[in-house]
Amino acid sequence: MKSTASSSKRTLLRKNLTRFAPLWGMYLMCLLLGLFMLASDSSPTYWLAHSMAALIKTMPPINAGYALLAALVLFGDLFNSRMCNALHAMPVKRSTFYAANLKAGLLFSLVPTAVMAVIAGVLLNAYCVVVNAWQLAALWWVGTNLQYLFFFGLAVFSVMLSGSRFAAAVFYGMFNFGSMLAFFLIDSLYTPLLLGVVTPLAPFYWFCPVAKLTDMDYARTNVEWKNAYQNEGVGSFTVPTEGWVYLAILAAIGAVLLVLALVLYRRRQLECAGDFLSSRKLAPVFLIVFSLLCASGFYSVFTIFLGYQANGWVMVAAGLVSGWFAALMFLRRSTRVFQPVNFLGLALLAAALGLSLYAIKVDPLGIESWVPDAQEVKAVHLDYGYGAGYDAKEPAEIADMLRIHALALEDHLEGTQEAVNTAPILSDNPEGRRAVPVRLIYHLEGGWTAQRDYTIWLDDEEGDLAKHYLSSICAVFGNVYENNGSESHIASREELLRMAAPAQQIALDSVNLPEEYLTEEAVRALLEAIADDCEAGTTTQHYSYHAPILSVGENPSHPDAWDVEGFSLWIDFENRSIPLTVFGDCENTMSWLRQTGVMEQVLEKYGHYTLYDWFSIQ
Amino acid sequence: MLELKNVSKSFGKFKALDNLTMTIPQGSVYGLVGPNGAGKTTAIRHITGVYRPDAGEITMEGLPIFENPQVKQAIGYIPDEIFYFSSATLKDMAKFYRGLYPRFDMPLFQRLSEVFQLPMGSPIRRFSKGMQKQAAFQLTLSIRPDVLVLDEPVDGLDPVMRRQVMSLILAEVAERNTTVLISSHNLRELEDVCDHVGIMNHGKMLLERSLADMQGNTVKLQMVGDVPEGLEILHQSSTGRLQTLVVRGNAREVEAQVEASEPMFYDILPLSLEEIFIYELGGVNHEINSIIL
Repeated sequence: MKSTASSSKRTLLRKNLTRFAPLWGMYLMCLLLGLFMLASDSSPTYWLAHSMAALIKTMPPINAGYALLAALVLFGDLFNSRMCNALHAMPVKRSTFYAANLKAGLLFSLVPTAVMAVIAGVLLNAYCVVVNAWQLAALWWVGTNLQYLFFFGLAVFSVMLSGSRFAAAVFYGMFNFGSMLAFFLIDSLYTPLLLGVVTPLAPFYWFCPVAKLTDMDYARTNVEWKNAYQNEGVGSFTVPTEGWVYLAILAAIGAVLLVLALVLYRRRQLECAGDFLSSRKLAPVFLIVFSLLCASGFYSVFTIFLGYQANGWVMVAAGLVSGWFAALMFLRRSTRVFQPVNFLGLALLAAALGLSLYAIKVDPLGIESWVPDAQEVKAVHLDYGYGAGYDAKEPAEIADMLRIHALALEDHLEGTQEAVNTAPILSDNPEGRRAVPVRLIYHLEGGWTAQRDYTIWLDDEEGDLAKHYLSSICAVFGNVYENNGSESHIASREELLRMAAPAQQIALDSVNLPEEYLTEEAVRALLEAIADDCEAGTTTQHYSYHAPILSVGENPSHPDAWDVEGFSLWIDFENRSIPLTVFGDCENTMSWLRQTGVMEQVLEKYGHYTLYDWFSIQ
Repeated sequence: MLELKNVSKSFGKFKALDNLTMTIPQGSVYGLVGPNGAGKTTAIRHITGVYRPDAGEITMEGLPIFENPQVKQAIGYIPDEIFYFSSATLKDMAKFYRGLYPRFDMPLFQRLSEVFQLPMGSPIRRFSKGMQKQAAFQLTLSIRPDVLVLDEPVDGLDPVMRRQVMSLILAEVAERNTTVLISSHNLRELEDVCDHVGIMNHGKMLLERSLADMQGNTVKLQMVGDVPEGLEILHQSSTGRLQTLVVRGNAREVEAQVEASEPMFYDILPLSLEEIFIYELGGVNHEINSIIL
C-alpha cells in the first residue's frame, strides 16, 4: 500500500510540475531578467549588492501575485465540476491530492528563486563587490520564500473558501487588503462623526502584509568606497531583526493557513464547483462585508476624486445598495435578485449601519470629548496638520497643549481645512473671526499615541497658545537643509544667530537680493529680525494665521491678482539653507525686507502667484 | 457487492437523493434508469467516492468507498462528460493512470489501441465526442476494474462503435466477472445487456429487480373467452372478442389457470422490458414515460 500511495504522490507531483511548467518557467525567466538588468545597471560595483538587498523588499507584490496564480492553477480543478469529479473518482485521498499540490506550489517558488540566488551569488562573487556574497544571496532566497509561504498559504485558504477562480481572487484581495479597506471604512464613515478624532493608520498597516513587507528592511548595506567617485566599493550588510520577525510571523501564519485549508478541503462538498462560495454558511458574512466595502468605496471615491462631500451620504446609500445586490448576483449567479425578501435584508443591513453610525455620533464611550490626563502624557507634538511643529515635553508646555485641546472642543468648529477656508462666513462667526488648523499628537505612557485635528479660533486664548508655540524658532526652523543632503533643525535664538555669516544667496520668491544684503552684518540683522518675530509669536508658517500682505485689488502691478499671503524667503549659506515664509505681520522681518526694495519687484513679477495657491497644493 | 443504504444528499433545498437504497450483485450488469434529474448521476458520484453523502452508507464488499483509495482502485468510472487535462495526449493519460492505478495493464492498453485506433500523440481535447468516449473506455478498461461504472456510456458513439463497446464490456464481465453499473435514461439501450435493473425517480429507487425475475413474473395473455378468476391483472384491453391482458405471475401457472377456464383461444406472449415497466409502474408518475420514449 505504501508503494501505491507514494506512486500516486509522485504521479500527481510530476503532473503538476509538467502541466504548469509554463508558469514557473515564466517566473524563473522574469527573475533572471530582473537580475541581469540589475547587474548590467550596476556594472561591477557595490550597487549590485545594494540592489540585491533592496530586492527582498521589492518581492512582496510579486510574490503576492505569483502565489495567487500558483494556487489558482494548482487547485483550479476544484472550480471545474467535470474535472473535479473526474479527479476525485480516482483512487487518491484528498490529503494526498493536497500534499501533491502543496509540494508543487512550494517548489514553484523554491526552485526558480534558488536558481536566481545561485546566479546572483556567482555574480556578486565575480564582481567582488560584497564581502559576504553567498550569505546575501541566501538571505534573499530565504526572505523571498518566507514571503511566498505566507502569500501561498493565504491564496490556498482563499481557494478553499470559494467555488470559483473569481471568488478566490476576491477573497484573496479582501484578506490582503482587508485591513486597509477597514481603515477606509472607519475613516470615511465613522471617524468624521467625532470632532477632531483621527483614525490611526499604523495598526491597520500592520495587517496589510503587501504594504508592510515592502516597507521593512531586511538587509542594511554598508560600503567602503574604493575611489573618490563613489562608484566602486566593497560592501557588507547587517540584518535588522524587526523585518525578519514580522516576516517569520507571517510565514508561520501562512503555514497555519495551509493546515486550515487542508481541513476545509477534507470537508469540502465538491458539488460547490462553479459556485461563488464553497459553503453556504459563508454567504451572510460575504454579503455584509462586501456591501459595507462597496458603501465605503463609493463614498471615498466620490469624495476624494469628485470632491462633492455634501452628497457623500447619498453615495454611501448607493454603494450599500449596489454592493448588496452585486453580492447577491455573485452568490446566485443570476441577475434575478430583486425579490422583496432581499430588499428586506438590505433594509436590515442599512438599519444596522445607521444604528452603528448613530451610536458613534452619540459617542457613549466619550471618544470625542476625551482629553488625556497630564500624568499619562509623555510628550505632545503640535503642528498645522503637516510639516514641522513644536514638541512639548515640559509639564507647563504639556498643560498648554491640553488647554488648546480643551478649548478646541469648546470651539467645536466642524471640519478642518474647510472651516479654515470658510471661517469668515460661518454662521456662528458674525464678527468675521479667523479660524486656524491645529494637530495634536499625544505620546502616551505605555507607548500609545493619539492624534486629534481641530480648527480653533485664532484670536482667542487657544489661538494665542498655538501661535506662541508654532512661532518658536524650533517649530519655524524644523527643516533646515544641509548641503550634504541631510536635514537638521534650529532649536534656539542663539543657535540661529550663530549662523550669522556672509550668505551665498538670499532669495525672496525667486528674486535675488542685491549683494550688499549678503554681508555678515546684513545677515545678522535679518536673523535678529526673524528671531524677534519668532518671540513675538508672528512667524507661524501657515497662511491662515496671518492677514494677507495684499488683498485682492491692492496689488498695484496686478490689480486683478488674488491675495498675496506672504513671501518665500530662502537663505543659502555655505553649508546649509534655511527656508522661511514671511507674512505681513512679521513686522521686524518685513521692515528689514522693505529696505532692500525687492518686495515691489516680487509683486510686479509674481503678481498672479500667491502663497495661498502654494498652500492649497500642500 | 456494491451497496447503498439509506443514502440522502441535498444540494441546498433540492433533495437529490432521498433515502436511496440500492444493491448491485457481484458480476451483474446493473442498469440504472430514470428520467433526467432522477438522481442517477448523483448516485453514481456517491458510488465512485466523489460525493460525501449527507446520510447513509456506501460500501463495496463491506468497505466504505469514500476516501478509500484501496477500494477505489478497483472501480473504473466513465462519466457522462469526459474531461482531460487540457493538453494531455492519450499517451500522457496512460502514464497518469498507470501512476494512480496499480493494476493498470499496459499490454491491454496497447491491444485496445488496435481496437479503437485512436491517435496516441494528439491532445485528447481535439478528439470528437465519440473519440473521447473511446479514449475513456480504453483507459478505464486498462485499469482492470472489478466494478465498472458507466454514466450514459454510449452517448455520442456511432452504432458500430456502440456495439463494439458493449461487446467489450460483456467480454470483461464474462472474462473477469466484473460488476457493471450502467446508467441511462433510455431503457431500450439497456435491455440487451443488463441482468439487473433499478429504476429511480425523484432521488428514490422505485423498483429494483433482476431481469429474469421480472420477465418470469409478468406475462402477456391474449385470449377469446371468459377471463378466469384469480388472475392478478395489471392491464386489460380488448379488440372485438380478443382480449389482451398483462398478468402478474409465472407463465406456467397462468397458462394452467387459463386452460382450466376452457377459452376458445389463448396465447401467452413474451413482454419487452419497456412493457414490464409500463405496467409495473403504471400510475406512479407520468414522467416514467420519458424513460421509455
